[in-house]
Amino acid sequence: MQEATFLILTAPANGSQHGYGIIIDVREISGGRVRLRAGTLYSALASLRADALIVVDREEVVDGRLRRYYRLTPAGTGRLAAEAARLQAAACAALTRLNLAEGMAT
Amino acid sequence: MTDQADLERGYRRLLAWYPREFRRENGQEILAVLMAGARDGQRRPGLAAGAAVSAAGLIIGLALIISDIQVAARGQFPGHSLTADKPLVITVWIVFGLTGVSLWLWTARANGQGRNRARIQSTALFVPATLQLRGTVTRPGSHAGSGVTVLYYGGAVLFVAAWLAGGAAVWLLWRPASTAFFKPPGSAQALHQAHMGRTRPASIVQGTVAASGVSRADPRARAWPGVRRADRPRVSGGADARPGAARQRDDWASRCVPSPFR
Repeated sequence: MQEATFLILTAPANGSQHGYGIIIDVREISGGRVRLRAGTLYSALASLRADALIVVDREEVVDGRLRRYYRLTPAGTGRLAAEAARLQAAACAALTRLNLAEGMAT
Repeated sequence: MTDQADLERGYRRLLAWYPREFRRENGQEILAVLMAGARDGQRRPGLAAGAAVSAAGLIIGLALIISDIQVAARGQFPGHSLTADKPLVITVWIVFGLTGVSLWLWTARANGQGRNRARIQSTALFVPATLQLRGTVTRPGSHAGSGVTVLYYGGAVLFVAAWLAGGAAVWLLWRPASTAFFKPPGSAQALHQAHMGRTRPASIVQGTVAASGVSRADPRARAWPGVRRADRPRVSGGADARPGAARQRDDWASRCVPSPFR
């Protein structure tokens, strides 16, 4: 799973989020590093919807503009959880080895 | 016409490049996101529009070659036949067209990020367009059908329009007001120029280096000071580059708890 996809799934993970909200969330979660463009976001959302990992939760009109809120499906929750666990395991391995190297030298 | 309405019209035009089905489903929503993401006072979608014009040029160029082939195939002009080099011409055309579009998109992105090299890049992209201009106004051969002529002049008008727009963009990019955007006050290059009081080739080089990210702090570099061995925190006591580095390592280690998902 690509990092952008992972972050896009993370944004609505605890409820629902609309398109621009996802862009803001992704920027915050990544510490400003990942800045999604509208084009990138919507091609990702289209394929995530096709894979039934997210669905449209509801639509609102704010200031005359359409806002579509997305939420994870059970399948989406599962995929995100599995991917997060995989990343965590890899990160833990790296940090453990780094600490180990430190311990042996001192 | 307000800035908002101008910008919205510009974005709507760009959305026309999406397939109709996709646009009907997502167009309103994407437009809302584009408008929400626009800078205050922004009136145009930016240089990405240049890429769209490039694409249009590519399509018209292809149509020209194809109709040329059809004319040849019909044997309407006996001097020419469908020669083997036509596929090569088409391939070269597509490669050049796609390269042009990618260059425009890359430049547009750099411009949006306020990188100074983007201005230089835009100007450099403008030069081949100027050289191409001479070829564009050459008349098509009299043997070509009227359809070809219409396509040809249509393409030429579009190309000249794009060239004029490009020239205006390059001129605007080098205005003092734009300089404030590309060299924010306090940047190394702005300070340098404040000292020197003029632009020198050296400062342009420095600006390019600065824009390439060497002087802009990369959040990744802050999070972990380097994958390279030389950048790692020192192992043996001594002068660790970052105070508190040891404490932070402990934090990381404590976060390594067994995953609840396994």
